[in-house]
Amino acid sequence: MELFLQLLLNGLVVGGIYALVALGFVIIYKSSGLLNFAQGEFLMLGAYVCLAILEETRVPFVAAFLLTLVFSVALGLLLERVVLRPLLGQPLISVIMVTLGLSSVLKAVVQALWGSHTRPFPPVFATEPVMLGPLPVSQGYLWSLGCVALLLVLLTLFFRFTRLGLAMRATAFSQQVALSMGIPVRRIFALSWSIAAAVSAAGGMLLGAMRGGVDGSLAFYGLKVIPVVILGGMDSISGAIAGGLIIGVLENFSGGYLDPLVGGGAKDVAPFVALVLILMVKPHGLFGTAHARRV
Amino acid sequence: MARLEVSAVSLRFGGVNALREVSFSVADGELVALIGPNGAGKTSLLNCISGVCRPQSGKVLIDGEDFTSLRPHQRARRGLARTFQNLGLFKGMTVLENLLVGRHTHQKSSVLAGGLWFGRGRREEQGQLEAVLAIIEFLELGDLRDRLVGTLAYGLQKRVELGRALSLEPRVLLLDEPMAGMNSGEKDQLARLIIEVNERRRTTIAMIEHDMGMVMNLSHRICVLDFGAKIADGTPEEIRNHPGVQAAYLGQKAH
Ligand SMILES: Nc1ncnc2c1ncn2[C@@H]1O[C@H](COP(=O)(O)OP(=O)(O)OP(=O)(O)O)[C@@H](O)[C@H]1O
Ligand SMILES: [Mg+2]
Repeated sequence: MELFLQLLLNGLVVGGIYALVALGFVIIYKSSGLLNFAQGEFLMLGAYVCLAILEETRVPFVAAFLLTLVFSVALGLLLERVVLRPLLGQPLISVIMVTLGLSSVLKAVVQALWGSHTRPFPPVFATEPVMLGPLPVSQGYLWSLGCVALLLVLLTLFFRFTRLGLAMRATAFSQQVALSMGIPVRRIFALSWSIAAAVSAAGGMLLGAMRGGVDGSLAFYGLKVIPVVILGGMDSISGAIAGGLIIGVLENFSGGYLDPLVGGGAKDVAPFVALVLILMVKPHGLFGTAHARRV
Repeated sequence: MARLEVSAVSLRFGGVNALREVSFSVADGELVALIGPNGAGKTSLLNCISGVCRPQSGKVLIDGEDFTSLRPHQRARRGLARTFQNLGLFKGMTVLENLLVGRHTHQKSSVLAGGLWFGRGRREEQGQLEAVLAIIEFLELGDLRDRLVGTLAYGLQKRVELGRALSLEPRVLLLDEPMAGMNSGEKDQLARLIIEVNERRRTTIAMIEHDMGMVMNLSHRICVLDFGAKIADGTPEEIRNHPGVQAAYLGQKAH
């Protein structure tokens, strides 16, 4: 039972980060139809930028966190303007190549600025675990879960109740109709890049703080975007959240229960097996719609 | 000066001449119908006015201001609203949300203040809500305001789309076949609403419609397109007796 709870909790913590990264991917896809394969690099860059702020200025973590979000919003706006706007209307394959290129460039920039070895992250969360019933739980995990939940709630409120949130949903439905309502669709694209960069960066900062260090391997979290959005549905926000949590939990369960039996590797394979099974029943993912295809 | 002035607009799609030097104008407060056989270029003309299509030549002016090179959202911002022939509603949103999107250009609160619950944003948002609720009331959609638009009957959806266009408070309203697919009861109801929009709200309207009875009753003036060219322009009475118009429609019946 204790193992079960421990694995579940680990799964939710990691899955929450997957959810953030996938959310960014889905928001960009929904508003502009572009596939962004640099989400993992947004996450990594966020962690490094936050660390740099902490080292240079010695402000508290909360302040560095918020400053990094501001930086990510600005980065999203800049990238949309410089890299992606020229691509509107280009074939999908060129857009994919460009976002893949973007991911290499971001990786190279991080390496050039901060090197390729692991850099220690100053301690953020108190180290002694709190007891949840019989279960000792690290405080970092709880903070991370709390932050992810808060971000997801804020985003949901944003999409439901704000002018720009509505405009983003309108644009996702039809750019032409949104334009006819006076919505500057290109600015909505830029906003979607900002939100995507910011939520991924938040995930990166939480990871850095929990692990106590940052390195290039953080970008691998971007690889999880694909199974998560296929599972949840390319065009569904709640799908990205559910998909992220499910994959995170599945990974940890198979790592905890199957790996000792099969001698390792189950953790990486199990989510894909589950994915195939789910897609056989629901070909558009758990929450996706059949007409998710965009032009 | 005409409220809406279209002068010598030509639009080609590859080899198809969708519009050939079409000129027409709508005076302030006027309701003008655009008619013509299928494929005559009516929707294309509306698209040129609203900015969806860029004509190869010609000009579009509203109250003397040149709209020709503006992008569609800039035209909407300056007081132009439209509906779509095949419905352009946000199906996954409620009736209320659809109309709120129509208020986009009237809201000033920014990203940070735009929420329902933050200070000035909240007060402003309530003003927007009242404007939208008044339109919902006016269109007799009160009971449906929280329904998802995709679940409504077709005739009701058409009315919601009219409401969304009205919530832009346009100077010029463009309607593309607002009555298509409606039964005669629904058409009568919508006709009454369109007249009220035109007379009570003094909104200038250009409307494409195939139902000739409705066109004759509603419009102050009728403009007829055939094969991309304007073949007649006049009062309903003049159009009824226009030989070229009858020929165009008879010609269409033949194939
Ligand atoms: N996007 C487009 N690409 C190519 N051809 C087009 C396009 N839009 C319209 N056309 C062509 O332009 C001509 C005029 O079409 P349009 O839709 O304006 O006609 P319409 O008068 O609105 O007809 P209907 O009564 O059927 O709606 C047609 O020959 C049509 O095939
Ligand atoms: Mg048409």
